[in-house]
Amino acid sequence: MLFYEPLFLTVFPAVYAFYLLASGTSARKWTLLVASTLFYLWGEPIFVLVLLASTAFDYALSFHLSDPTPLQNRRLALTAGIVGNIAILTVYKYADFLAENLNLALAPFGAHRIALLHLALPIGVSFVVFEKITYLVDTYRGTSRPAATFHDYCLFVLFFPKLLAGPILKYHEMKDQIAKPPAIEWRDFATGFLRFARGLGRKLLIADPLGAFVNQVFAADPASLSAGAAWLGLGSFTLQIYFDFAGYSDMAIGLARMLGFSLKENFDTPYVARSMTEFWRRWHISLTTWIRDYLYKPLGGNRGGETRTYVNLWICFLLSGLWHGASWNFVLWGAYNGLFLTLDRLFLRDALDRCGALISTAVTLFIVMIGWAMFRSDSPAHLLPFLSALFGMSQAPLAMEIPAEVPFTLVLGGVISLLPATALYSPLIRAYEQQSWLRALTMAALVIVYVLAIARAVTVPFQPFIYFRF
Amino acid sequence: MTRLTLSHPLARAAFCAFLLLLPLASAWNLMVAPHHPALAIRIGPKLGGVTYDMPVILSWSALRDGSFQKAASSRVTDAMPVRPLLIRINNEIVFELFGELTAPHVVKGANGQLIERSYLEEYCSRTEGMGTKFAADILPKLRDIQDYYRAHGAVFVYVVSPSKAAHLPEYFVDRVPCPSTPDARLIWSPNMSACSDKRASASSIPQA
Repeated sequence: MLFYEPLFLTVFPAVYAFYLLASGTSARKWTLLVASTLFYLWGEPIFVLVLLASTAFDYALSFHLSDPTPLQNRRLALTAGIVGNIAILTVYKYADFLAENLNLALAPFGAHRIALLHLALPIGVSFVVFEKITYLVDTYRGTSRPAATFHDYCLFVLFFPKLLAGPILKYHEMKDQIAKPPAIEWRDFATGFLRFARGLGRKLLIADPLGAFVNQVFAADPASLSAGAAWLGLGSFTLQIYFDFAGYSDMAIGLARMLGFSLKENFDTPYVARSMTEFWRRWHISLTTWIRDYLYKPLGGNRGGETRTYVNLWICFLLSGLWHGASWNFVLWGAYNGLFLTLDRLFLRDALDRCGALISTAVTLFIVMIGWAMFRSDSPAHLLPFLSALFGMSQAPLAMEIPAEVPFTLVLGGVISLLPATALYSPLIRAYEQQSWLRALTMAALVIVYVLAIARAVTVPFQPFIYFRF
Repeated sequence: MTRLTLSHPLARAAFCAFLLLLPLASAWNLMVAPHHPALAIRIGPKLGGVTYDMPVILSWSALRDGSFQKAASSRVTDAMPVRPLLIRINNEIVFELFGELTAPHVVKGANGQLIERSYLEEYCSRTEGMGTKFAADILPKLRDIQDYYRAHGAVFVYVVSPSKAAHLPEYFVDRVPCPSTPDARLIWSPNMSACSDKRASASSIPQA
């Protein structure tokens, strides 16, 4: 169920009213848990059963992850828990990819073909599995105790605002709010609602109008694209993926805030970054910090010398690419990002620093956009001719009809994305903080955005969030 | 001021009542409107389109393949009281800002003139003699209707009028493939009217 579907917009106020009227911690938690389970059941009626079974397995293991259990048994329990969770991800997401590539590699030797499973990828599985791993690791590390009750842990796993596409929560950051849901005041409702409205606007008024054009460009034969059309398509995708995913995060954070919960931010104006290292501190922050805390550091981080650090970075970004999808273009995208992170450490970041803000931001954005071409291309076979088209090397460029709303939306999205990099931004923020009329105007504008976005949602066919695929 | 906080029972109850307005109105439309359309709660202009109502069947297989969710979601969407208004807002904005039409069967002609695609396609596919043939098919049926009403002491009046495409062809004919010849397009209505006139004078039925 999408957050901007009429069904959700109709049912959520009723659930919210019920939640507000529920008295006592236990009643509130049960209300949230039942609502969250039904929310997921609606989209994934079978996988929800697998998820609940796996959640019970984690919960049972978590009591063997801390003292007084001997260290060896704790390690065994942690390994079992992590393997169990990765197994879910492997079966649903990577099994067919692995089998296809094994079949391809073994075909010259006449090996028997491995049958494909053809399982539909459950929505949000990559996010949920990573969150469940944080519970096990946090308990093992002693950062947090096992959840007080099973339904507390279920609520952490199934909490519906973040369930389908994050932000990826870490158990130790959420445990207190889960154990005792915070009280709700007007401020929570207002802040959450306006944040939700901003997310709706980002998704429906910017990402979706660009998405239709992006589909058209990337579905076309890349050999027939002019450089202008290819750049326009890539620029549109650069904004689409940001506004789509950041829009979802806004909605998730806004809904959670309406319910009294505070979730960590997931984006921080990523396109104003002046290096790839900075970009990854600003883009999908919950995934980057997850990788840092639960993969990069356990691999040794930067403690094993320069070469080891670069290898660790590469491993992390390769796996991050693979996390996004079982396809070679995502592996390539991960390797590409790993390469630039390594180059940053070697010389690139310092070199960009010396070039000034404008050039460093432009170069970083260029690197990011080429990465998005890898990300959006269906296969490496599409990527090379598309890159050729970008640099004007296509053979017979055809004219492409550009919908009237694309230029307008591109400019709007570009201004919103890049405004924080300009000198105007700081005075604007100061004025917003000091002038109550400006805050009132912003609120009114967001209410209008909400109405316009909902108007589009009930009129135009749904376009799922890009990150639902992961 | 503290009495207005959300933790105050009265403030909370009032806010919850407000929150329940949309779900309750939608539930009302879902349950009552199919049997008593006049009692449906609708805000905004009446929608002209017709949507196909998929059957809502609750079964494990329907739940598993998503058809139950899709059908139920579609019903709830239709039942939203503010849906007509929201659709109008969206269509107006898209048309005014970008000149784009969200209605799939409407064609935009020169100077912002609009026409239903089927009328334009009919106009553009006319052939010579088609008007006479059409009149020969339809007029006996109209005559039967006239006879029926005359027998019941009433008068049935019909009007033969050119379509918008025939009236203002210069706005539209370049918007779709238009194989018909100008002569064929022009002769259609006079053919129809001529046949109609002959019948009318024979049966003494007044025409408007």
